[in-house]
Amino acid sequence: MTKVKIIGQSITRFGELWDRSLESLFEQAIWESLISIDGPVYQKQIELRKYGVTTQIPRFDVRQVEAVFVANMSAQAFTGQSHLGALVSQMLPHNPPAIRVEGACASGGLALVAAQQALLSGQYKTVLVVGAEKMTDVSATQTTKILSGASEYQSEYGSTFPALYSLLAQAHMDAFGTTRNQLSMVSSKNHAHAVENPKAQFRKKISADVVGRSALIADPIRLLDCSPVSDGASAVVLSTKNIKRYQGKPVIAGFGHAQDTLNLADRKSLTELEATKKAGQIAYRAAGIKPKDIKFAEVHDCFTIAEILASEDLGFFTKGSGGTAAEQGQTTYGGKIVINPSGGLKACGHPVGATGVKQLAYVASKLQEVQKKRVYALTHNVGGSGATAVVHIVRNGIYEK
Amino acid sequence: MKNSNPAEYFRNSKQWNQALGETGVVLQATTISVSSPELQPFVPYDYLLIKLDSQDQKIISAMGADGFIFSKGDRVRMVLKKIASSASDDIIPYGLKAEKISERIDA
Repeated sequence: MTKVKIIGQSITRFGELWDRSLESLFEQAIWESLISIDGPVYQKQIELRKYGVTTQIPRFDVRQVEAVFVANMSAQAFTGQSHLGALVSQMLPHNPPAIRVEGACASGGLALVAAQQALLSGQYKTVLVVGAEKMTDVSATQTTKILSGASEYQSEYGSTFPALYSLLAQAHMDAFGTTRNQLSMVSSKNHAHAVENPKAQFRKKISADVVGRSALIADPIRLLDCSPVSDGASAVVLSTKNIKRYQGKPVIAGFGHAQDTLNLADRKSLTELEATKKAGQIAYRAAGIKPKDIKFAEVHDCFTIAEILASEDLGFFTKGSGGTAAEQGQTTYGGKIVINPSGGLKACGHPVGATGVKQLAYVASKLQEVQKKRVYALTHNVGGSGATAVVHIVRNGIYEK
Repeated sequence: MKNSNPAEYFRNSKQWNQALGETGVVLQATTISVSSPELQPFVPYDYLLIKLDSQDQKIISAMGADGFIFSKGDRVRMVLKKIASSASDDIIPYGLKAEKISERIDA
């Protein structure tokens, strides 16, 4: 059976990177992912790339990259740049075919799905997936307007993303007694995790009390319940080649992709995200494992309620108990499962097009540190208020040939 | 529904008729404190999920009209209101909003 291995990965620093352009973020992520495969040719040799990024020269022959899948939501609106496939392709010396994939905040996850389908069909053997978003060159209100394009623009006019997730939060609170403090605990926990992540936008602990007293955005969601506006990029190199030097590289054990209605008003339930449940079930079935087998997960915590919903819909906790689990420390080190060890979208940052790719790159890098036993990790990337969901299950490469 | 040009306004006006004047009940409500530039003059405003009494109890979403505070269970009626700020020479952007007609009545 053909296996897709993650042979290289990179994540740029996430944050308000005023001195960095969209192009330079793409360029940095691409070249660092290529260097991560086999290391640089010379440790000290520096090469200046087209958009000002200085890199070493990868030992890996970059001409092996047969295609590029580019994830981005709104470069046209944020920076004026479209035609991203061509933009990224020219960053490689052989101009490989490149396709831009857009699925709002799930753009990264969908680009990974498209890349794997191309690999598993046999069309290609090695591809690059890169996601980026440059969001901080426009005002916060402009950003709100641009991101609202991920909802159903006409039917949900007047909404904002915090408002849509607030409606979900209120439904969860009404149905299961989820509390303000439980939402705050999610944010506080992810900020604590991000302290250990040098790429994270916010490496600062905040208490649940501070979260609960932050400015109201859309009741009950407050400022510190929300993931930030971020710049950043991430890339992974995927390959189906069965060669010796890729032994031990992390393997994508399964993936699932599902949709729900774009308009929240048309959903069957407001206390679960059906697309997440379906995508998770498909991925678990493909990997041949159960939720209890997952040791850590990067889930789509665009808002704190989103992590609680994901922790239930992915089967880590029973429906209605996600808030209690977060409050009791079951989603951090020493608990049942570690959720968002990177800091998640909340504290690591959420450059929209990069997020889904970053989740996979992050778990791949962590899985490479585990050498003595087989470990499974999960990534979960959502678009809109749950209309698109992509789940990946990855295992470390131990016992793999 | 936002109308950014006359043709879109014409198309959307046909949709208004389906819900205009209809009554319903608020399923969920949130008060928005931060919104996009065209909606800043209305901030804070409520955003609602509403189950209509007719049309097979269809669920729709809409902004709440100015001057009301909405809660789950409130009875509302759909009305035509200005839904965004605009320059003086633009089309006045009208669309559906909900007006409260009675408070929630707990059984």
